[in-house]
Amino acid sequence: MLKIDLKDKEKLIDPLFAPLNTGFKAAVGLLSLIIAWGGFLYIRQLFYGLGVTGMGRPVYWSMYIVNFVFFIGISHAGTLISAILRVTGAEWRRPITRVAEAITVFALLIGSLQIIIDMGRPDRLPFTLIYGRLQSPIIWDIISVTMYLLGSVTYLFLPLMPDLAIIRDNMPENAPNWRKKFYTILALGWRGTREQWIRLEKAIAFMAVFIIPVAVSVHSIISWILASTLQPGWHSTIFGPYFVIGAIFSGIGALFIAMTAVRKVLGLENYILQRQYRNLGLLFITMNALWFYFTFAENLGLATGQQSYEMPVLAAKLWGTFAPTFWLMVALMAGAFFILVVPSWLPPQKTKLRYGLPIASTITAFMLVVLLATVRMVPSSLLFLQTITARTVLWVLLVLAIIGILAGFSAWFKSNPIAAKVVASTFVVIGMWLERWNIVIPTTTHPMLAAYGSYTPSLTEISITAASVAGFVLMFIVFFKLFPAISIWEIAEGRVMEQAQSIVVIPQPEASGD
Amino acid sequence: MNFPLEYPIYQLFYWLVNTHGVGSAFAALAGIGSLLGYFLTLRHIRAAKDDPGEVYSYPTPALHHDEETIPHSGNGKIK
Repeated sequence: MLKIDLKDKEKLIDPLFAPLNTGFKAAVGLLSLIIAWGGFLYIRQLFYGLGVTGMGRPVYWSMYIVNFVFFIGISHAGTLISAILRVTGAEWRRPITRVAEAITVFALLIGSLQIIIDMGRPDRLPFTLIYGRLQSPIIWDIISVTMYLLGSVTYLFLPLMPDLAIIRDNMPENAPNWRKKFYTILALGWRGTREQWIRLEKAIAFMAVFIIPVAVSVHSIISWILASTLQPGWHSTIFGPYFVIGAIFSGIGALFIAMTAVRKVLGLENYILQRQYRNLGLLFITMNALWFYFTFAENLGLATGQQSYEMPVLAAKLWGTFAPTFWLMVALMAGAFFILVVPSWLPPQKTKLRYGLPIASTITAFMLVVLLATVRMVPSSLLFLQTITARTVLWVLLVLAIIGILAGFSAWFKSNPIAAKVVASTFVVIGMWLERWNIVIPTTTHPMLAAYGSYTPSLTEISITAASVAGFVLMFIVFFKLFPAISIWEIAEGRVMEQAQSIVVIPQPEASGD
Repeated sequence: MNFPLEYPIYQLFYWLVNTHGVGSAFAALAGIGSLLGYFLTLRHIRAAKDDPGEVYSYPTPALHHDEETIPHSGNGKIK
């Protein structure tokens, strides 16, 4: 029989067998309703065809493809981040790997489903497999996504196996019979012998190394599906790394939100600590900076090229139809960077929340006065300012107000670093969905050979998107009702390692001098 | 310069990338290969023969002590 620390049992195993509470039932009910509505509209779409969506000539790829790229990006949260941290021996990874790996599997399932939803005739799906040709990036995508999904499921299951055996040996006696059988079957006869551990560790180490290139290939290939066409705005050599960076970035954002939800709902404050937030936060800031670099580089190429077929796509994003979604994306990413970086510069505990809003208002009012003064006293060298429209002024004011509010809340973000990470992550996750939108839709509405078109998502597409998000959250909730949110054996191992390291005394450097 | 497709190696490449079904075969190979690999890995872990009385709830590097043993001579010096 495998042993478990009593506190771990109380926090990680007992809640799995507790009766379902009202909050859980309400969440499952609400999410099921959203999924049922989306399912109904999907069946309707099957009957009436893709005409019920906003798609039409020349826009044949739209919201479902945006969702596909977005969810596959989110899937990089887990396996890739978990694998990188495991390979590099980052000890602080232990409490968050399970959540990260679960995100990967569920996001991949939902992401892959989007392709089937996008097909007007899903019965033709087998044709892509039967008649697949190696020259097509679509078949590369099928190969890499399949390998990633199977690898991620295995990578989730391998470290789960000892935990399943621990649950099997330590579950309450009054646990239902089906739960007893469930854990016994899934534990695959794990006993925890020395040889089993050695083999398991080797398998996990191999998978951690193997999954990294597979994960990178997945998002690279998704980008190549776009980049290997001649469509304006897509035919770019940096799309591969740009997509991979964006995927890891959105993945970390999703991980922050998920691990905070798990921490709060399951009361795991003693397991998921500030240390995990701080270290993952540093990686998040790096990815944020890289994302800005790639976004700038990508659009710089379009701007300086001045190609007649590419400029309309860029113009649509910078000041045309897609300007709101483009600049909202930029604002959200800049806001996330601000929240992650600026509060850490403030001196500790100098200001409190009650001062936040007055400070924000003061800064906003000050900026407003400066702006008005500038417009009234226009020197002859700045005559172009007289052409500023009311709409432009409103936009500028909005941006200034957001900056002012963020500045005002900096002290609060400083004293609530976990909440700050969640706010920044929410900005990033929304921003990354918008980024996928800004990549897919402006190009499909501005094709090279056909007349330009427009696209507005229909109720069907919006509902199916909401149902996809609900499906992702539902899988997450149900999974963590059946399995521990934290790897029990990895935590126990981490404690022993930490204890051993604390015994080692590092000597001070020898003083040098006269 | 000769046209590349005159050479058998390029003809083979052309056939590989342009023939429908070859990509499908690669996809099937990747899927079946992955599944088989993971199944065999789990079977290998499960089948480990060891002293059933000696079980551990978690591993540590000490678990690998036998693998890293350096043969010593009797006087304590490494052989």
